[in-house]
Formats: sequence, C-alpha cells, structure tokens
Amino acid sequence: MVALKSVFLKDVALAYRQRAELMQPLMFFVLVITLFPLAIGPSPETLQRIGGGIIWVATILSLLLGMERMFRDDFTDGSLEQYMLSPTPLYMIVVVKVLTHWLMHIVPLFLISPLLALFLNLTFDMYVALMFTLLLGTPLISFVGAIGVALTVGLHRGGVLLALLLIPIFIPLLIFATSAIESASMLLPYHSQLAIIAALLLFSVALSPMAIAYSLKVSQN
Amino acid sequence: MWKWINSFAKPEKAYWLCDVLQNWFAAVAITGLIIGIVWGLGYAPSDYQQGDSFRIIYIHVPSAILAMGGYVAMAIAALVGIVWQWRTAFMFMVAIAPVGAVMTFISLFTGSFWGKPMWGTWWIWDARLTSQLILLFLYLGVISLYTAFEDKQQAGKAAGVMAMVGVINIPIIHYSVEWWNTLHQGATITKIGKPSIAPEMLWPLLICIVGFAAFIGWVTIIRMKNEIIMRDLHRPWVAKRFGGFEGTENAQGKQ
Amino acid sequence: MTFQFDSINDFFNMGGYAFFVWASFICTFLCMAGVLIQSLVVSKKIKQGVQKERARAERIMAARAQRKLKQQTKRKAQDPNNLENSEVVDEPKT
Repeated sequence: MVALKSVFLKDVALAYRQRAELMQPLMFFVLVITLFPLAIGPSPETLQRIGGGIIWVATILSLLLGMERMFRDDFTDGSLEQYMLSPTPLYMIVVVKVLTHWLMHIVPLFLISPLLALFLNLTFDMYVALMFTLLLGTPLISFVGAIGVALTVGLHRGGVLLALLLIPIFIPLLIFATSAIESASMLLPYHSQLAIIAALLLFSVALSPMAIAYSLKVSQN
Repeated sequence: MWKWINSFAKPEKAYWLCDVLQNWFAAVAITGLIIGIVWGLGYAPSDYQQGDSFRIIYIHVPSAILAMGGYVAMAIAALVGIVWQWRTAFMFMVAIAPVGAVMTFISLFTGSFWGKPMWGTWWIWDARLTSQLILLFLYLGVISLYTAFEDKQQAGKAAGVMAMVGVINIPIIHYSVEWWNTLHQGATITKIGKPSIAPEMLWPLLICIVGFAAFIGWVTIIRMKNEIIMRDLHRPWVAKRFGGFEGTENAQGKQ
Repeated sequence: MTFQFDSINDFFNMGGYAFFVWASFICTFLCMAGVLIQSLVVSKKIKQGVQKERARAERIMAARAQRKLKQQTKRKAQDPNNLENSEVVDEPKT
C-alpha cells in the first residue's frame, strides 16, 4: 500500500511539475473542436446535432496524444525495472499509474467542458449526458489504451502506431457514448448506453492490468 | 497426447508437419476452388431476385467468414504462444496475419461490387461492412506492430497481445455496430434478408468455403516455413536440411 | 445440374452484371495469386540464401585451411621454435 501511495504521489508530482506538457493535449482538444464549426458552418442546429460526436472524437484523439507519456519516462529512466523488481505486484502499480494518469488528464477536460458545451450549442440534458459518458468512458480509454502504450513504449516512433492500434478498439465506446448524448438531446432515457459503457469499463478494469503488466515486461525484454 | 502436441513447439518438428501438410492443402485448395467456382458461376441456378449478380456470393461469403476465422485462429495461436511459450505459435500468427488481411480486403471489395448493383451504391455503412472494415484495421494493426520491432521474439509477443485484445473486441465491435446501424438507419437498409438458400446454390458455396480455407492453410504453411527458416537460419537442423554448412565454428558462432 | 447459360456469350454477360461479377472474381484471383506468389518468392529467396551461405562458408573454410598450410610451411622454413605466438589468423569478416 505504501509503495502504491508513493507511486501515486510521484506521478502527481511529476505531472504537476510538467504542467505545460499536461496542457498540450488540452489545447489540442480545444483546437480540434474549434475547427469543426469553421469547417461545417456555424449553424446552431447542425452543431447541436453533431456536437456530442465531435467532443468524443476530440477526446479520444487528445487522450491518445497525452497517453504516450504514461510509461515513457519510467521506461527511459529505469523506474519501470524497479517496479518490476519490487515486491508489489506490477499490475497493482499499473492500476495506480493508469488511474493517476487519467485523473491528471481528465480533470482539466472536465473543467473546460462547459465552455465547449457553449461552443457547440449543447442543451443542458446533452451536457449532463456528455459528463456521464466522459466519466465512464475516459477511464476505459485509459485502461485499454495503456495496453497499447505498454506495447509501443520501447519503440522510437510509437506515436502514430499507437493511434493505429487503438482507434479501432475505441469504436464501440464512441458508438455508445454518442448515442447516449443523442438520446439525451431527444429527452429520451440513456441508461442503457451508460450501463453498457460501465460494463465495458468494468471488463477492461478487470482484464487490462494483466495485459499491461505483461506488455511492459515484453517491452522491457 | 499432450507431449505429442507439445513437440510441435520445436521449429524442426513444426517444419516437418508443414512439409507433410503443404501438398494436401494445396491439392484441396486448387480442386475445391476450381470445382466450387465453376459450379457456382456456371451451373448454380441464378437467383430469382438478384439475377446473376448473386454469383459473387461464391467468393464474398467464404472470404468474409474466413477473414473472421483467420483472426480467431491468429488469436488462438497468440494465446498458445504467450501461455506455453511456443515460438512456433508466434510464427503461425505472423504467417496467417497477411493472408487474413488479404481475405478481409477481398470480402470488402467483393461486397462493394455486389452492393453497387443491389443497393445502388459502392459503399453503405451497413453493419457487416463496417465491422469487416474494422477487422481489416485490426489486422493491419497487428501486422504493423509486428514489423515495428527489431527483435522478432519480442515482436511476436507484442503482436500476440494485440491480437488477443482485438479478438476480445471483435464481438463487442460487431454488436455495437449492428446496434448503431439499426439506431441510425432504421429499416432503410435494403440488405436482402437471408432466405434459406436452395441446396443447388448451397453446395458450390460449401465447396468454395472449403477451397478458400484450404487456400489460406496452404499460403499460411508456405509463409510459416519461410518464417521458421528465417529465424533458425543458423541452427544445425536447417543446415542439415538445406545443405547449409553445419558443424563448423562458422555456422554455429553466428546464432 | 445443367449449364445455366444458353451460350458462352451469355455466360460472359452474366445477365447484365458482367462488370461487377467479373471484376470481383478477377480482383479476388489477383489478390490470392499475389499473396501466394509473394510467399513462394520469399521462400525461394530464403532457400537460395541458405545455399549461398553454405557456399560462402565452404570458401572461407577452404581459404582458411590453405592459409594455415601456407603459414605453417613458411614458419617452419623461417623459425621452427616460434609456432605458438603466431597463431593469429586474420579471418575474413562475416
């Protein structure tokens, strides 16, 4: 437990000291979202109809950008090897690291989201649905994405490859999340979509730490 | 029995098995494909709704089924490789991945060419087409991850993890896409429902499926043999088999 | 089990769907032939590589043996006591 706590504190401290780097995916997120009204046209109805989808696509892309750093520093400075040698099981450490990373990346996203809801002319119900789907969906992205990150961490140019590997896997999440928002826009209940996302999340939380730990070992060779 | 199966973890034994099976697969593939396609193209009755365009089914359905099956086979090989540390299982995985990707491409292509006269459009975001497209991306992901690594032992394991993640996702993707499709497009899909197919149409289809499967097996065996020799280039057994130089310090010092 | 078309022209026409049917079949054939041929070519190349390697190894061995022989005779002629020190044989780099 002590070890896990120290891993958590270390990651938080590191993230806090590299605030600027933490801001980059966020900036990217906002910029991508700004592009859509410019490309499609500013009509509020159109934006409202596609807003949920745009925010979700931008979220996935920006999280993918930030994700690359999840294990990179630990890999290059050798902490990863120490984690592997430590008596604490690697998958526990991995869970803590993924959760910390998620926390560091998602909190700014949540803070900025009301602004985006205004940009894209979302109704209040849609906004609430967006928040719920983000809350359940982004940890899923972090956990499943961490497998890909762990696999590509040893490669010199893993960034594009990471996106290639992961984007197809996030398609179900995208489908359910956007459909929840769409249901909310029509004032329909969207529990079923949320339930499916939650199920996917639990499934991935249960299985992916083992896959991440194994992939890290493969990468460390 | 278990010991006997385990002996194929050795590249030498696996190579021997490949040699034994190769010609059988080749024979079944060639005869199956020729009989099935000639029968399907010329002798099967034409569909009362779709006319002769339905004859694309004889390549579309086998390739689509086997693209999916190939991915599952690849993932099973990955599981075997990761759990029991079989090097040959990873070699099989690498061998079948491009073949499966080609099959996926064929099924997409023929689906598109079938869709044009039937639906009036080359591409439709139909559930099956979409999940097949995603399957192609998954195949390409595994292949590109494998090629990204220098150390092929490591590459096999990494690609194996990816293949397993993909195979868990395939049903999820499939059902989500199906659900998405019904949600967005309702009953506008003009996909012709699958009526119980007449036996004189079914037989050539089954023969074609067998032929395609044997073809995949055949090409996979060839590729797997390549992979085995390439990795074991300087082991004594390869030298013995292909007249390489064995038993010298030169041949053994370079492993 | 009869041939479904009246003439060979009818067969190629495929009830008006000639383009779609034949294009899919030809493309499928090309893809399958492509992957098969590529695998066979690689296989041939690898086997050639093994043969080449063998030929090279044989040449190296032969050359080494010859050189050894030459040096030994030379050494014997010059200085028969100093056999151990001059064992270094410059191998061809592999």
